[in-house]
Amino acid sequence: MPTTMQDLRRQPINVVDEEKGSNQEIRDKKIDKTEKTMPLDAEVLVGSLRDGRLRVLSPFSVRFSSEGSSIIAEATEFNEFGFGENWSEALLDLQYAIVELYFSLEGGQDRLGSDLQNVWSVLQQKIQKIQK
Amino acid sequence: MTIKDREFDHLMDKFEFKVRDSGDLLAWFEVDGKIVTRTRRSHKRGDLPMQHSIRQQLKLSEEQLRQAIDCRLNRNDYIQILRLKGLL
Repeated sequence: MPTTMQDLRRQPINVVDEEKGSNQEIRDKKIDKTEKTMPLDAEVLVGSLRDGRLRVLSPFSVRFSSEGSSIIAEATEFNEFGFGENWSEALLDLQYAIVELYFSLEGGQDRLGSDLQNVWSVLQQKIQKIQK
Repeated sequence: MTIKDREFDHLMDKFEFKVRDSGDLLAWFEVDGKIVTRTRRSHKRGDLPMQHSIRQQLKLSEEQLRQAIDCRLNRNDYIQILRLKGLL
């Protein structure tokens, strides 16, 4: 487990299987640690979307920054972003946005333009739908 | 720079984005049935930060976004911009 911010920055925030659900507290604790100490322009790897329908196969990079009173979380690989009043809120917003993006692009995958086809391709490499 | 939520909504309306409310407002731009760009607006607050991120999703330059918000670009202009970028 990472013990310093430098360790945390390049570690997936959650590498556990979200289906098990018992690691939520650990996950939150890590994010809280991030919230207290994250410097501007920090970058972390995130390994969960907090959605039981999707599994992250390969952690994706999230860059944090601030704008006015908002904290911004950006996943440049997916060209998606989230924001909030703190690090945790921004990350949650981003995770929610990526889930929405995944299902939106999946639903329209036969009609995607070239740019969105690229995004969909990256999403498929990094994220897998859990078959039930 | 921030975009006000009503400016965002006006832009989506003017460019004829299709929208869906899923908690946030999801918007996507279609031309001849093809989905070319997409973006979203959070319902969190009045002013939207991340103007540059929204702009990147819309594939507009800063000046083009300003023109669009100022009602100096219409749907056809936007299509032309996307065409020039090779997205159509």
